[in-house]
Amino acid sequence: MPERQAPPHEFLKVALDVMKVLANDESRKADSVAMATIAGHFNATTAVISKRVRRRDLPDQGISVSGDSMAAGMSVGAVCTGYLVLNRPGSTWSAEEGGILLGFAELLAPVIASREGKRRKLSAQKKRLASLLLQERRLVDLTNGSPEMIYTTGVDDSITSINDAGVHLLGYDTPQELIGRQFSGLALNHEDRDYLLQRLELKHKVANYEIILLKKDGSPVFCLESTSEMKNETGRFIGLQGIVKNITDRIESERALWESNMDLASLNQKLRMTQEKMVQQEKLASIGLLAAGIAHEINNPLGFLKSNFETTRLILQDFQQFLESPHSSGTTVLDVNGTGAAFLEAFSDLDEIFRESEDGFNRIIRIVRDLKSFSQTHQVDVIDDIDLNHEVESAIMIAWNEIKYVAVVHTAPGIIPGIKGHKGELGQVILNMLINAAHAISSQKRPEKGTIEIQTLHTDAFVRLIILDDGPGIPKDVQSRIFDPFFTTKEPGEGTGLGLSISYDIIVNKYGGHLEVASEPGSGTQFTIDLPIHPVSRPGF
Amino acid sequence: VNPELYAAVARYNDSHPELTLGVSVVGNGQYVVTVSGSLDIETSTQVKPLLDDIVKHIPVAGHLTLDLEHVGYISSTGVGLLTTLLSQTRKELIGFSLTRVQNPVIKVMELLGFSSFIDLEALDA
Repeated sequence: MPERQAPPHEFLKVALDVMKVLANDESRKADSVAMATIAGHFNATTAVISKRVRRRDLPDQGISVSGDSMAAGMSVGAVCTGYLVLNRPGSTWSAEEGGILLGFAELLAPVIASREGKRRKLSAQKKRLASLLLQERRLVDLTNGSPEMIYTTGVDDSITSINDAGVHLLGYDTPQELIGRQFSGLALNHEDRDYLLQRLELKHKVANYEIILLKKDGSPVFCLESTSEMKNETGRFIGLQGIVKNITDRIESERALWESNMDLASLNQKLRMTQEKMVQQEKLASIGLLAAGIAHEINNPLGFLKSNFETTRLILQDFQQFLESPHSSGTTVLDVNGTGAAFLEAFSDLDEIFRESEDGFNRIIRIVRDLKSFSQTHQVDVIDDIDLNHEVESAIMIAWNEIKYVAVVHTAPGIIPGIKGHKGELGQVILNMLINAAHAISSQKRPEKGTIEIQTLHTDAFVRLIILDDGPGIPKDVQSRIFDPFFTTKEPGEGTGLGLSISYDIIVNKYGGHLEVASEPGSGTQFTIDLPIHPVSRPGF
Repeated sequence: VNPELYAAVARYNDSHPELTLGVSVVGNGQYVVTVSGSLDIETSTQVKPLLDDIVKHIPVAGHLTLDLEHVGYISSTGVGLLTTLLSQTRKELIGFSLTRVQNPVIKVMELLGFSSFIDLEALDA
């Protein structure tokens, strides 16, 4: 085969064609290594115009060149980055050809390198894009497969995305119904969302924040939310992303537990109150028994004192009659001794002394009788006939020592029917009311006495007792609590706070009546007790 | 206020600025505790021992009032804390009331059924 050497410009032309093909071959997915082989009539041995090309870097297949290069009887095997490898089977390159090729290689190297760089960059970008697409698809699958609500919002806290679980949780049909809406508009309290945003500003993420959201139909959903800020690559805040868990079932369980605890606490409270009341009533009963004993002990000497007093008065009356009776001489003993005037004056004084003493005796006898009546322990199955007016008088008598220095008592007993009940209990209620009224007036430390007005009247099926004082009244904020056990406005040791509670228990629970208070701070207090004339039978009554 | 209790409250407030307490005694066993902050899962858990301690200082027939004017947020744990306090005070025969409660807090309490246990005095009442 005759050796024919192509003129240098043909090398250049062929090489430029190679580069043109490579530059325009966008579809070529070559590796980072390529090689051009010029074969044919050159009959050339391989000339490597590079010190660094490695055989393993060369691709298995070359590329074809068409056009002028084909006409020149040459073909291109492969091209590698920055290097050109030419083959001439059967002969070696001349020095001139070698020089041309070296210059040619230097010319081509940056072009090929640039082209290959672009290709590599594009390839890397495509890989990254594919990886990102894969990640995004995974994220979308993960988000939509999550049983918890997952959402994102923009900088204005309007919803930018929400998963299927969120749409379902809030009772909507499609995400589009929620996208664009302010998140705070979904909360029961928009203030709660504002508070979350404030915390996010400080901490950038908030975990387990409880918030109540509203479903499309307005029903509430108790939620636990974990939220964090989203930022772009420059660190700028671009919105929030959050996961919301529905904890309504858990809250319902907790609520049921609270109710059980409250029921238990109420039972405990009642038990303890009952115990305290029993202790107090036991004390009162003991005092009552003591008072009854004292009254009995007083009653005996009082009996013979009264009797002796009557006898003494009768003897003195006889003696006075004897002294004043004229003798046979027509004169009296008083006339004879000339002491008549002095004796008559002494007898006049004695009359006054006897009247006062009798009044005193009668009062002592009444007090002892009332005390006995009041302090008697009633038997459950024994019901007394009660005259309320009489019980009021008895209570005034017993409480008189507490009242007389601070108040004047005006009574207006009405014409009322008798009622059934236990005298001791009812007397205790009236006594409580009177002593409270006296203490209230006393607390004002005013120079003049106050007034306690007591009235009884008949109203339909009830007998009504009104006790009105002109004391300081009861502050509005405590009026609803005065019948609570242990509630007192008195100083420690001055009151147990049980008086009105026990009174309420007796009137309302035992008698089926009413006990009401009306008070105007600064003007006084009125207690109104309504007692049924025909009480409904109750346990312990 | 008992000096030991006063010191305990001061120590708590120093270390828990998210929720602080102020305690005063306005009458015979009448305690008023002013609460400032949010009653969330974290703060409710932290403040509970101190509130328990305060209840222990109140005598039988005394009263505990929580002033919630400065509480704008409450979680179910916060409501649970109040329920526990109510239950505890009832057992001890101590009165318990909430005063000046903000409307968002009342709405949560109503939803959770707490308002059926106790009367709430609203801030704007």
